[in-house]
Amino acid sequence: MAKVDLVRGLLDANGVLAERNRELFQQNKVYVINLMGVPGSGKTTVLERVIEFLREDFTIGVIEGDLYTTKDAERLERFNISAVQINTQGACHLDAATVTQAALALPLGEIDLLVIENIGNLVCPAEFDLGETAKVMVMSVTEGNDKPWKYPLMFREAELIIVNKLDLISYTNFDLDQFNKDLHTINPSAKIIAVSALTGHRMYELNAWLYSKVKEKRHEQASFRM
Amino acid sequence: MHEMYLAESMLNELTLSADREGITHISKIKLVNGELSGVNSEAIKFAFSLLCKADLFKEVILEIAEPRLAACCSGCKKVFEITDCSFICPYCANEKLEIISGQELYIDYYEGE
Repeated sequence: MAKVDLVRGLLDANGVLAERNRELFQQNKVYVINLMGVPGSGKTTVLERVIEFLREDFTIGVIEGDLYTTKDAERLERFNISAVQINTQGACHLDAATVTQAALALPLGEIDLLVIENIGNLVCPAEFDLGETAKVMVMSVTEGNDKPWKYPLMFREAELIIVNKLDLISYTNFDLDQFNKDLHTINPSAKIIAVSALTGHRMYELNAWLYSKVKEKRHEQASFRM
Repeated sequence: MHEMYLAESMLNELTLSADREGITHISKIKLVNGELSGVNSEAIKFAFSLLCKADLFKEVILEIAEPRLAACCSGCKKVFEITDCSFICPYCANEKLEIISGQELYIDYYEGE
């Protein structure tokens, strides 16, 4: 009888590929967002608003993850941006290998901001590093205050949390102050931006955050090359 | 059900390693699945049981340890368990913590011949 001390992570293989993606994005000076969130929370609507605002200053690319359909990618077609559709055929998350394939189909050298829209799911995508620069998640006020407690890993992983559908808040019992307090306990360094992507209310805050991040990335690259 | 993906990854790692080590039958696997790894132990057991049909895994026992979430404060250096998802130091209210256990997901060891 032999004992083999393997000490091997089940996500190690994905981690290696994610690091390769990260290098690929770095070489091409791309700021990459892994956009995760609740199904129906408005991920695609938020993305549409962001593209409308930022496309004058930056070249934007999108990797659109979806279980079966191309509906979200079709919504983005009108912006005439580079977009690639991934259909996971039922798989609940995107992984690094799938993202590599999609990324190589994009003109990465021309892209400043790449948004990877993950599968709407608060559990599985949290564990899979895709090689992104930042994890951003979207939830909405209609989902209630308890979500961070129910899905702590996802809320721990996100650098920015977008609370959408602010226009509906008066019809719900969602307490934004309480949410801020709760989230501060779970993820003290996370930033929260509450918006209504539908009406555009407070989208300037999100757009400004993204603008400065993408700009910073470009600058970091410029000084690195010197 | 990302546990299926993870069980598949576990199967691959074990098959490769057993091949390297010249092991033809694995009798026991020890997996470590932290409290906040995001993976359900029962689900990964179930997924693995569906996949491990090769002779290499005949009557294998999959044991899973579930370490609790614990952190070390970067300020006061105290070590404590994290309860109720509170990621703030209970001693000095510092928000910069190093998670020392509870998020891991790895094969620790296996036994075979």
